[in-house]
Amino acid sequence: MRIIATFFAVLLFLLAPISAAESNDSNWTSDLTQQWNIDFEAVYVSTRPVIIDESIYVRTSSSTIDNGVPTIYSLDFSGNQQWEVTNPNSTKQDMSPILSVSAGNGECGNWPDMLLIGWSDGLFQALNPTNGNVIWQHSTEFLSWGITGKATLDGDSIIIPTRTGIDKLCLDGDLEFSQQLGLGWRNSPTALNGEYWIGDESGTLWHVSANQSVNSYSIGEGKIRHQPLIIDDDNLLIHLQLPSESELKSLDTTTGELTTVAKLGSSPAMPEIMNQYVITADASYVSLIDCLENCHMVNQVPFRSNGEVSIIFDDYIFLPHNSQEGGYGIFTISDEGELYQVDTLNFADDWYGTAGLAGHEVNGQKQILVVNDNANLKFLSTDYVLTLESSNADSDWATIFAMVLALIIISTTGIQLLRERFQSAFKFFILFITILVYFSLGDIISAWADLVEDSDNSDPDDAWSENWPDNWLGTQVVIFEFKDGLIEAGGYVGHEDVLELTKYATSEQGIDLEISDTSFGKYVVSIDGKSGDGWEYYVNGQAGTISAEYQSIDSNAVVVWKQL
Amino acid sequence: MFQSYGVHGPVLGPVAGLAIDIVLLGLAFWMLASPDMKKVSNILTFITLIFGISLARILMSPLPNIQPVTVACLIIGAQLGARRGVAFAVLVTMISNFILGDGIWTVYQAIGWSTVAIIGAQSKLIIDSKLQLGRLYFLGIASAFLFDFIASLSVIGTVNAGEFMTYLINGIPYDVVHALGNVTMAAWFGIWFSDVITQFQSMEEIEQTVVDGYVIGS
Repeated sequence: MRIIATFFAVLLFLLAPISAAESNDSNWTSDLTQQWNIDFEAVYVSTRPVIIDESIYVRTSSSTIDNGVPTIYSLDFSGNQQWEVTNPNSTKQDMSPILSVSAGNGECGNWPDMLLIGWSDGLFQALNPTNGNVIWQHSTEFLSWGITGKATLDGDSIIIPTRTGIDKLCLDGDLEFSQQLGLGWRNSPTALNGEYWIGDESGTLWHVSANQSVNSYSIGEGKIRHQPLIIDDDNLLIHLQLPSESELKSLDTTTGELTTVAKLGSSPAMPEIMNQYVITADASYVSLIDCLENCHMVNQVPFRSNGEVSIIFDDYIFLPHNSQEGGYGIFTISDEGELYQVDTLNFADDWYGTAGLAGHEVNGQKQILVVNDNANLKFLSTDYVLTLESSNADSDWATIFAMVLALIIISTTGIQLLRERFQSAFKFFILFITILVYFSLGDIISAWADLVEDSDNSDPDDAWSENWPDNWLGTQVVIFEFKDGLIEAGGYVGHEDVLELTKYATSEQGIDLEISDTSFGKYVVSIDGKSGDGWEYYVNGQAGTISAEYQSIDSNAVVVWKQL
Repeated sequence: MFQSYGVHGPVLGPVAGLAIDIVLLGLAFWMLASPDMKKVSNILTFITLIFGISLARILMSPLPNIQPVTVACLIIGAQLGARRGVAFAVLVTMISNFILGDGIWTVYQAIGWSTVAIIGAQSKLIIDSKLQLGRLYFLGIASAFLFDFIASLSVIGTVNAGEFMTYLINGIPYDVVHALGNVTMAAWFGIWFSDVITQFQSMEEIEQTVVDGYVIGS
């Protein structure tokens, strides 16, 4: 009986964290506590921060260089700055949100992980998220202002709202076409079935077809300062700004029929879609529009918000309160389908705000970033909830089997200890530790190598060759130095270790790669059938000291294989 | 460095490899050339041990630096003495490397495991015919680091001092795994393996055989 009780006690102990992770608190907003605050001083922030992996990105802007230089900052989760990129020429308020693009490839080329930044001087830049290096850049027209709206991703292209039209670029930076339309401000294009729709300052909605032919629809005597919303394949929703009010209009793109959905307040925010609903805000109300069939107003909640609407953690709507009192309103939709306010967030340094929020959840801990016009950035989080790493969906059967085996072995250890069979308990315990180390050895070796090697000395720029094409900048490059020749390949993205990158590059280049297994990891025996006295690899000019399968690499690493 | 020189240094040419094999084989037979080996059953048991542990090493080669030979050398050294421990170490290294890959490292591995066998012979691992497990765990851990260090010496001459230090430091996780594997194998198979060898002649019995042979001969 004692053995059975012990077994279940161990089982419960091991499973306890899973249970804790599943009991999620629905009133989490009241548990938010401020972790840190950064005051960027006399600049503005008008766009939402962005969280990608382990980094935070935020942009500041300025109308005069005396107040500060417009900057993109990269921060870690402790608020420490990782890098910054400035543009002293961008002296109009920057309102184009930061976009992130994951590494990929398409018909028009390859591209690495990128941050896409539009500046008010018309410059559009693709930055390396790791170090801020410029991967490529493109100049657009400047008429008092340059880019003010959000660029739109469309497959392997990016559609940039220029001052008077759109530029379509491949994500590798090549211009596909440039189209003159109407004068825009904080407008943003919508991609629908390979065609583009964008509003302008005179209330015209422009349509650019796949063959670049242009036609237009007059929505009303007002301004379109947001991205038209796609209701379905045929219908778009536009929030038209009028001098003292606004109108929500639906356009049937096949017939050109225009329908007024609702008359709303002045200075509208940029509306957002949330499942079947559309959330709009203005100087008076937050409105819920149901577009399941024909779009219609459901209800309104008094609140003043004129900037970005943020929908985070699936069903929470955060709105910056654009008044001197500032703060943020938190809304959600009830089971009955009505909008209601859940909570408000207020801080000592509240001020006008138009920037949206960034939300992020790690191991049950909800984290949000809020920022107001005064450029006060705050990181808030709920209490930390520990979960088992193995509970993620990527667990494969081998991992599950190993976990069950480890559970049985550690349980047996406990049972044998209680039976005072110490020698037997030790046997099971040491077996458990060995299995544990075996399954984590790759990570241990990589971490150890990172610890003992001075990674600061490793800079891709040191290994970069001016002869390489520009589109390899910021990507992973592999060089094979044979005794009698050289093969260079680049533009690769997303590979995490030297061996993975090498396998991909050799496969793409049609080169044979022979690898053998050793107890110290994979060993490259020959490349293109040539073994010589062995092969040695270098990462950013630094000789590799561990198996290529354990040597992790950055997104812009230069790997050189030398035949000895 | 691992990638350029393999696990333990550059591969040898066929002539150099043959020369090393002859030297190692000669050493092993010289170590075995003792009176007790006149008994056929002893020779068969010894050969079985050598091939059994060689096979175990080959089968475990996919596991990172899990080396069953180290603990086997300690126990054989303790039970059968340093001479047969060294012979065992050399032959197991040669036979298993015939499958796993031969090179200059074979010499260093043979030296490493021979050293471990000698340590086993000198460490009073068997007291009153009983294996001292605690002592075996300690020696298993120490032998892992010692063997790995000796095996690492095979890259000397191809790297400078700084690179050799980097090589050693990067190898520490592997040394720890080797030590952990030794303790695990000692805990699970130590007593069983020791009992198997007990059926072989003990040091005292060997000495008795020698004495008997001398007396009868005179």
